[in-house]
Amino acid sequence: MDPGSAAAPLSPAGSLDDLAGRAGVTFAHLDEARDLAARRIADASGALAAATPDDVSVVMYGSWARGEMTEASDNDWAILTPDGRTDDEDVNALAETCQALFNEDGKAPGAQDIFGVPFAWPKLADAIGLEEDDNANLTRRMLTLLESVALTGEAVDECRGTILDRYLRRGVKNHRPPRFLLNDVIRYWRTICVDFEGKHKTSGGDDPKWVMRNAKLRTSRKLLFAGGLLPVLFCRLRELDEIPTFLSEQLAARPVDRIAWAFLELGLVSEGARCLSAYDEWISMLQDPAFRAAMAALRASTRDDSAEFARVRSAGERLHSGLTALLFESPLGPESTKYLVL
Amino acid sequence: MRDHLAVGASTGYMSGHRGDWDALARTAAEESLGAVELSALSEPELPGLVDWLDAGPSLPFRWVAAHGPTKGREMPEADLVVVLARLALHVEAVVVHPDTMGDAALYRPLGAKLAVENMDSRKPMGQRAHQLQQIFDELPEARLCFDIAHAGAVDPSMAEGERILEQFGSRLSHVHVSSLDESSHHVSLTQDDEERFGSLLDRCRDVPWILEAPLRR
Repeated sequence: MDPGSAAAPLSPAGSLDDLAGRAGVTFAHLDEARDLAARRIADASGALAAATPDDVSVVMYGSWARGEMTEASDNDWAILTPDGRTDDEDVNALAETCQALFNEDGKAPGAQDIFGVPFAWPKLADAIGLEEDDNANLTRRMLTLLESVALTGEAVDECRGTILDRYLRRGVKNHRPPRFLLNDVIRYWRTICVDFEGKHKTSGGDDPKWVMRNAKLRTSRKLLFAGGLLPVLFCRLRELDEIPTFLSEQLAARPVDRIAWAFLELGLVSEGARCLSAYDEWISMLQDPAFRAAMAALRASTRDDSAEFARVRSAGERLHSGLTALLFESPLGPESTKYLVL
Repeated sequence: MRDHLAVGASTGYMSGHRGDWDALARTAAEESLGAVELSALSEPELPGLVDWLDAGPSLPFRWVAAHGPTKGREMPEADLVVVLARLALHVEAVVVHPDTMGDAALYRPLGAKLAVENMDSRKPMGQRAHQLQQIFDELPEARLCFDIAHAGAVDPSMAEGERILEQFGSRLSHVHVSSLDESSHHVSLTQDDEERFGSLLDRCRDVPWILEAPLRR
């Protein structure tokens, strides 16, 4: 089969295991993180099922959804509702249950109220671009599409389908990456990067979270971005009527499986193994309490002398090099150059 | 060759500037800003390189490796490892030749920064996959610096090179690229070797390719 041929399977689920088998390597830390996430998802789903109304979903984001959970992972939860339901009694009761379940031990979602609350999902698809599409809406939309997992309910499936439909409704062509979606994926990544600097400025340069935030930009966030880009670029091999199903199948898988799938499709087995081994190393760092404590103690002024940050930098560089080879030194190269640079 | 995004130069072939690390870095930057390998091939060059890197020079490269000494060795091996560990603080990889290692286990403190290079046919060890395996058994975290010209000299069919990558590809740090003359000295990559090495190089597109001799103009 030609690399990247249209006859390839749509779903990348299990591709990380396939890559490991083909390359003769293991991704032990990613496996452990995936198994922990699966156990926690099963437990939380069971705990919330009876309390969830039919028309809403409890959804987890971040490492839960990426299958990269560690004992220190935040619990980024949200309740997706139809319009006009966020303040209803049954939804409030569910939110209280979620708070009790997820907001302990400093693992509650961030203070910006992007997650950790009920929100009406139709706006995610209705307001793309322009004034109404504020940071919260952009973040919720992109993360619902790129890294979310439903604990309960089916509202999230309808939400994802509606968002994709909005991106694909106009201007999409055979064998072309859908530009509207592509531009929003790129916009989200650039927004994270710009906001990283914005947060640094407002924290007065001694933000205790700055070093870990920077580490995540080099690793988890970059992987998520690549995991969003690749399915869009691979639309070059699809007829117009295949694109919605192809993207749905791709985005339902973990980002790390999407990336492994792309390496396999393009015949870059060794490169894929090295790239995702670097990511596995990053996950091993997150699983180590001593590493996390050392990172939490670092500040911008002490980061560059730290052995821990040197490990992050090295793993991040290898991840970056692998993704660069995948995007620019493979049969995807012309597509990446045409659509990602200008 | 020229379309790879991370091609860099080894300063080992820039003999005119030997010991002048600022000039060597400037010359290497004329070849590429992507990567560089700073070579202290003779042990007396090593302290100067470490001092220079300790001083924190601003370098225009995205990826920096160093090559440890292969000749002029006088330091006790344990002391050499201490110096190489200091070097490792500043670079992504420290390249060491297997035939210069007396006790491989001494090099464990270098961890994943140590890059063991496969040897050419003149060397008594480290040429073939099974020989490298013995070294990696001693150094489980060490990585591989794949010298493609050495692999081609050991087995012109490139089957041994294929075996090395097959067995140790997951450890690959970077690739040394050149051709060899009759005396096994590194010379510019020939057209024939570019074709002979092509399929193996294609499996190494995510790592830097370090030129051990200038490219043909």
